[in-house]
Amino acid sequence: MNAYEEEMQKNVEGGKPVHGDDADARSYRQVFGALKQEPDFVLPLAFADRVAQKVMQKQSARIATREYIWFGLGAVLLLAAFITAVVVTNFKFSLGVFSALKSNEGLLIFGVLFIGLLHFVDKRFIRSKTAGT
Amino acid sequence: MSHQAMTDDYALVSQVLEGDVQAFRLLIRQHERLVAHMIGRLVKNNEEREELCQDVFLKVHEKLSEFSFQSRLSTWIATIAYRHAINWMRKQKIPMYDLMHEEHAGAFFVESENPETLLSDQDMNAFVLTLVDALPPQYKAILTLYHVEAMSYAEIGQVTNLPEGTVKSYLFRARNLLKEKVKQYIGKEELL
Repeated sequence: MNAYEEEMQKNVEGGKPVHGDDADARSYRQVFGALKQEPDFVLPLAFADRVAQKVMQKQSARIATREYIWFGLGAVLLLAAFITAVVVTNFKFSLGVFSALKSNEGLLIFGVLFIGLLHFVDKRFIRSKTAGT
Repeated sequence: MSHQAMTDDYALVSQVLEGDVQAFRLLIRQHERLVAHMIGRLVKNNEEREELCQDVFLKVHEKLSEFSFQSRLSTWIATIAYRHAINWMRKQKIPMYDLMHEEHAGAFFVESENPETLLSDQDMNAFVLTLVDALPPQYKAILTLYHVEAMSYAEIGQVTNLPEGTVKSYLFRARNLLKEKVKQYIGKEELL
């Protein structure tokens, strides 16, 4: 570093009298004055709220992902336990009482469709009306 | 770092780490000027600036548990902002030269050989800031942290990952180059 220039910079910065070239001192004063100016870029007033909201969205997305992972893991473990139990106990699947329904397929299908229809009517016409009151 | 500043930082960081969103909002409001100054000085693309500031605070939130109170919180946030801006510039392939090499020194400055152009530029501050804009990013960051944020050489060294001596000499060199240009400008003005 040039000692003369360094001394001049220190003096101008400290507001002390400067010895030497007056044009240098004047120029340094201009430079120091301009450098103190803040950049003109300003963030909007709602910036903090916007960032905080993004953080909350990220957090809830992370929680949802974690829940999906636990759910998936639980399902896999349940399946594994089921398979293990079947293998270990040498369990044989039998339709048992349901084998009697084999000859009444139509009745079974009607039963399923009828229950489905009841649920539809309940949800579409009854629950929506009571929710409005 | 003062004891009061450290206590304030500690209390605020603890609240944010406990999940207090209001405390995080406060942290942003306390440091948004600093981040805007850093990004505003280093990045010229207006559309990118706000998004980069947002990314900086998202990173601050993500890494806050790693903050070890070895420095002021503002210094740590300025470090994240500086690195984020530098990484963005690298991705954009914006060249980053070093003014310490003499051959590059003049190349960064706006050529101002036409005195008529100079006379039309009435605002000396604007002229100096145009010259600052043409400096390499490390210099712009050092000038901003020192003159606008009033940081010490040691703090600027932490932010820019440069030794204190290098910070001092970069600051000196940048101001010297700016002074030379202003001197030329004033000289030409007086001749006319």
